[in-house]
Amino acid sequence: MRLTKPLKVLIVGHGYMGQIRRRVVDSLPELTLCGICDPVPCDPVATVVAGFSPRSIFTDHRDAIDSLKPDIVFVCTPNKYSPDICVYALESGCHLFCEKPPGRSLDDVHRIRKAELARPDLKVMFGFNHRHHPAILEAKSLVDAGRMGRIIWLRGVYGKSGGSGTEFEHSWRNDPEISGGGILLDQGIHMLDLFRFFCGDFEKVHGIVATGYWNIGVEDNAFVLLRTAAGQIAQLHSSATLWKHTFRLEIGLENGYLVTQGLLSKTGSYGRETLIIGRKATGDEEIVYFDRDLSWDLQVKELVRCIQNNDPVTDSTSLDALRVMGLIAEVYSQNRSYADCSGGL
Amino acid sequence: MKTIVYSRDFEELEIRPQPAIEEYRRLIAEEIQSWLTRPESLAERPCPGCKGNESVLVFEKYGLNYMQCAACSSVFVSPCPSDALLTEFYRESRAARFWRESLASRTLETRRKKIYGPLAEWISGVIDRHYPDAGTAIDVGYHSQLLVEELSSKWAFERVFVTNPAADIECRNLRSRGVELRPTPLAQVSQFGPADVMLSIDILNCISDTDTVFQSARSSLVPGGLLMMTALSISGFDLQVLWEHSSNIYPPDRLNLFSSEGLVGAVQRHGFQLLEFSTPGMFDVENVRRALTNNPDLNCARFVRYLVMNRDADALHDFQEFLQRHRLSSFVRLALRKV
Repeated sequence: MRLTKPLKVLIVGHGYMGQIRRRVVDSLPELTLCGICDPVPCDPVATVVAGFSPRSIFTDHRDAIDSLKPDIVFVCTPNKYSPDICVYALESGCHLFCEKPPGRSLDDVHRIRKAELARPDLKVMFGFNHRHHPAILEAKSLVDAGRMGRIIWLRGVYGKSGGSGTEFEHSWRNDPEISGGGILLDQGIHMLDLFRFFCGDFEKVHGIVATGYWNIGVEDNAFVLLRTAAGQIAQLHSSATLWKHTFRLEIGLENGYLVTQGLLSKTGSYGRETLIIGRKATGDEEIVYFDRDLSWDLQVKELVRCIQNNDPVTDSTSLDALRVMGLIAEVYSQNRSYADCSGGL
Repeated sequence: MKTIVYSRDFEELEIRPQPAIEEYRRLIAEEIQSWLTRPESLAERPCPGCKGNESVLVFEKYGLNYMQCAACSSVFVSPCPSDALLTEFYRESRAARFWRESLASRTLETRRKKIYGPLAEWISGVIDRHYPDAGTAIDVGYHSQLLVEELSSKWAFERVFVTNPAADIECRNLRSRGVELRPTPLAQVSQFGPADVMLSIDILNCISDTDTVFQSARSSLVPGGLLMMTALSISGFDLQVLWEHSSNIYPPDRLNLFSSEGLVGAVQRHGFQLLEFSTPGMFDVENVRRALTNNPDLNCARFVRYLVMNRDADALHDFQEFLQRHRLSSFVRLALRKV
């Protein structure tokens, strides 16, 4: 049955990601923002501009959920806090949208899934928004159409510049107690999710991580090799020492190749988003440029659609989160002895 | 929205051999006076892009006036022959016969491989992405045979209607399953709907009433259906540089040369969503270079002359790619969705 009233949204965590989600919520007529929760009180100017009542601003997620009784909770907090908030939201009868990573460990995802399985009436989605970037969508449709044949291999590079350094080294993302992992968990998770998006599950995983440059307690580089049961192989380089924001996913197929590079982002620092389509038969290359990133909107719209139609969530599910966290956990497990020596992970 | 760059190694002369093209244009020049320029058969018209009524005469070819719109800068012939007269020309004239029987047949396999194969690839890619259940298509463009044959090998349409007014003549050898030849005025093609896809390849350049393309697409397509178009645009590099000296501007094949702005305006005016606006043309630089070689006295900006006459193939290739990437080539490709 189609709901006529907008769904009430609470955003927990009003940092960089929370503010991005807030813009999406504000733009969709199916949603209405009923509150914001953040341990750091929100910028009063921003809240006034948004016409937001101070009574809708909380510092504790339990108070916010109990008081506002939202339909959907967006969890946009650092990894350490996400699982507790997710579980509380589900136990309180709220649909859930949680940013990636879904926690610090595989156990965190198991906890969230347990709460989800206890409430099959609720919808749960995770923030693997890269699936909805235009170049990725275009590449996926080309692969699914089958004209280019079966995927043989994937190769992905995803990395940051690290900026000036001080800010990067002191970010919560590099504090193992809060984040649970380094660049692989923070950013590499997107590329691993895309590998799964294109090839399904991987049965073999080999990874090497290292902290080669930054003075941080987690890895700043990871190389991961994977193989599916069907023999498709994939390679990821996830890095915080590329010195230039980089996103590049190459897909080798029987009849050609696809290369997605660059990402449409707020700052444009990853470069113009493009898809190169190469065809084996002719040697022709086609380069597709994109100028609009709808990934944030598309993903949330899909969650809203699932809620309104009571359809099962099939995109960026908790099972996707579990599987990709499983790959990362396996890599970290293989590097335990290195981590013991370096004091990280 | 997306734009596309295409890199493929061939020259325009492969698909448009110079002596044959010259003969085609000679026939047009001979016949156009008797067919298309009789005052009683010409009618004034507004800009086909923005419908603006203010325009200035910019040049004349074969007795027809090319006007430039003061608002959107599209260039178009006005007064213009009627579509009925144009249909007669494309069915019966010696020039049209020469195109079909000599020029087209001589370059058949090259055009199949270099033009229509990739075009069909593009069309099937857009359908894959935006309407994967497409079962019915209407092709309203001229020279459909190769396109339909190539497309049939890539997409399993249940029905394809080829409707251009000369379809029965042009496509008499077409043998593809599910294809029906129905020569029909553009304004009446909605009788073949509802369709999932409409193809309008180069047709915008050579008809009098370009609104009928969009209107017939609106009335024929199902909601969400796709309209795919190609056209030559006056905003492109070679046409901007060469202007009236461009050998690609001539009636009746090029009665309308939309500017990018005029084309986007027309798309929006008719309520279509723009999925792709790209200019993957490959011949802008080559066309300017050839024109300057053939006519060294041609008036041309010094930098452009220096670039195309003095720099090597790599530089020219890169410059052509720059034009493609920034939608500045004269060959325009559009994918639209009915909303």
